[in-house]
Amino acid sequence: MGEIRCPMCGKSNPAESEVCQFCQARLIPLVFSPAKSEPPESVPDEIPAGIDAAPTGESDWLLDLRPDESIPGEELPVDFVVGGSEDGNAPLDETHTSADDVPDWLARLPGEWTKEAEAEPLSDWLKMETGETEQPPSKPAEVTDWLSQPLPDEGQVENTESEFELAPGEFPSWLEVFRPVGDEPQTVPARGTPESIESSGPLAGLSGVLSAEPDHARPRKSPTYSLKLRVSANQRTHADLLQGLIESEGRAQPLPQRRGISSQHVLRWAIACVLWGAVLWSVITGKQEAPLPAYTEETAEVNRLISQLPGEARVLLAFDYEPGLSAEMEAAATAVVDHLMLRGAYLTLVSTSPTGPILAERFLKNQTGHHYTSEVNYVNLGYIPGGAIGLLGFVENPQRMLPYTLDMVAAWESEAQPGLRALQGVQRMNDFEMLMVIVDDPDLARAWVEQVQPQLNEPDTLTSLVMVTSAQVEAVMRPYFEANPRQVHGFVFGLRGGAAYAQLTGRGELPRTYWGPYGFGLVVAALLILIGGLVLSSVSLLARSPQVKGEANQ
Amino acid sequence: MKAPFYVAIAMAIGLIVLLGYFLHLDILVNLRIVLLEWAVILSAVALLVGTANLFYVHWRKFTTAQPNGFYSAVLIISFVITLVVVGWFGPTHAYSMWIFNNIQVPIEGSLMALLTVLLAFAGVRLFRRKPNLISILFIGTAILILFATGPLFGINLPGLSELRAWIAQVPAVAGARGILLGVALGTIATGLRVLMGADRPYGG
Repeated sequence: MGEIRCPMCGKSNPAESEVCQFCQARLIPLVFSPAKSEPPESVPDEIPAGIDAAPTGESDWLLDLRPDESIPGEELPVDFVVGGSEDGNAPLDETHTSADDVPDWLARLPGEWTKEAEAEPLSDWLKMETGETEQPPSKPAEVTDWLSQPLPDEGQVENTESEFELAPGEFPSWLEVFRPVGDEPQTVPARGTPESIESSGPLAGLSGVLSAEPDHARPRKSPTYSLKLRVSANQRTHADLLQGLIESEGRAQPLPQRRGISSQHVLRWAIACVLWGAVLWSVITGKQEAPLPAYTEETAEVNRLISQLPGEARVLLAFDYEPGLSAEMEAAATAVVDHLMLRGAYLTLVSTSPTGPILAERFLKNQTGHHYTSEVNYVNLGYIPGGAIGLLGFVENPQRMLPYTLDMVAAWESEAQPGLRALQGVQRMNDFEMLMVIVDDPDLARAWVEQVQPQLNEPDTLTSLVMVTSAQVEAVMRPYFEANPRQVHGFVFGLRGGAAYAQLTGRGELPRTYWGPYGFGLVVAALLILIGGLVLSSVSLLARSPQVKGEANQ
Repeated sequence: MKAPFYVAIAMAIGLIVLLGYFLHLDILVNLRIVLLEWAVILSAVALLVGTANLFYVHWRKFTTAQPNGFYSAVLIISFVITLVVVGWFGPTHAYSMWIFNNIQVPIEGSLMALLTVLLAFAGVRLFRRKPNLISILFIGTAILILFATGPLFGINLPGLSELRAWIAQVPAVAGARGILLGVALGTIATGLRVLMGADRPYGG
């Protein structure tokens, strides 16, 4: 074996290393010199499977001390090495002997005290040290008596020494060879003796150092546990039920067969036909012209702010609505933007929606009464990605966020270029005279107010924030309008607001065209819901009453 | 090991952006602007990735002859045509505007019109399915607003407009204020949880 594994960190080290190269843990346990240590007891010839061989210099009797290395059922070898190391390179006595070969008279030679000590039961800790717990009970009896003696403590050693001192001369010289460690009595050195001085590592030179390799840190075979779960029959039933439920979730359920024509289909088509008929009749005949609604405070405020704009004012116009709601939003915003154009405002168009820039182009092209030209009267900066984050970035630094127009023309004024006319003199958001947001979504409207409005709160700022919203945003916008100070300075909501604004300015064809059919369609829808609901609930009640009577009779 | 790294980045960036609101230091403001620009770039890239993924999913659905693969083919053809026309001529060219005005706007407007019919149908059935007090209150309010919002054939019913204004400005605004306050408190709580690392929407 060319390397040794560190018991502390588990890394491999060269076989001749005394300490781990990585963690400085001691690889070779600090042991006493074999020549001066206690005699080894029964030492197996082979190291049990699963356990690494002892490193160079480790004695066999040390290996034998490992308590869990014994394999049940395996017989301990009878032969042992007297005073030799594991590999037998430098045994004190290379004579191999067997317990059977030792004559009885030789077994009695160490003295009568051995038999007395043998008769006494060993303490538990001593059994652990001697490894007797691993041996079959029959084997120790075969070992020579003096080999099977437990390790004496220091007091016993002193007594033993005194006894040995009395009879060393009684042994014949040829018999001395059978003594395990020469003619010196077996003693356990006291702690702090020169034999236990640390020879390497950071504690080199210190005596009485405890071994860095505790017994519990040695590699050993891990116990095996059964993975079988013990469950009762009731628990098994519940587990099967849960498993069945989970498995059924993944299975496709068969679709119910479609019925032909049900009453629901008829009702749905009837409602659609009535609504379409009402709107078409109103549009085709044009007989539903109705008076425009009266304007409200918030609408009048928008009108006042636009009327107070200076000539050639710079206005940021955001188109944040989806194409599906373009009919309502265009009708609501037409009169307002028309008013802006009448004032000669330069428009800067942006959007946080990918379709917003195209909707803006479409909207301005439909304003036929004005001849607004791209990059002259207005500039379309395009799409602001990132939602509210992008909006904040645009508010903080508009030139970096949207440097070019939709046609890839440099838009902003700089030292190298004059910039487009609509953006001349504009460096920050506060340089716009007005911010107008045309929005159909309550969350988007809230994002504009919360991200943009704080930038307009500076004392010298005259920029106003007005909104043109869908009808569904009215309830969300009103708290911002009623706040003190106002966070939204005015707003126009839905077709009703657009029509009211058209009445204020006397312009705006689109809301006027829509207002009549819109009102007629609303009334028809309300009547449909009211009459249809009453009829259906009456039919349901009438159908239920015979059943109730029948159940009561039964 | 990665989780503390993510948390540290999220907390540091959140604190920088937050402190930039309260402390008007040039370094904080500049750092906040840079971070915002990064976020915007990532959002734009995410949009591109989403578009590419949409195309890939429908392409796979079409090439593997899955059910309703015909609709995927329609989407792919429309996608390619629009991409070529807008990419070649530009987004404000007449051809691009024609596609937008004559295909996208009518389609989305038609969906909204269908929604109108479905809402009216649901209103009619509500009386039958759940004829309780809440349903009656809900439908009654809706009918009242519908009557009062339109011109009602030029008939001016006394008190109708005032009632509509009261509903729109008192109960509706009260609910909207509650929602706004709830959103604000929820945003603060969520922001604090992210700043403290209790919520980790970025993973880890």
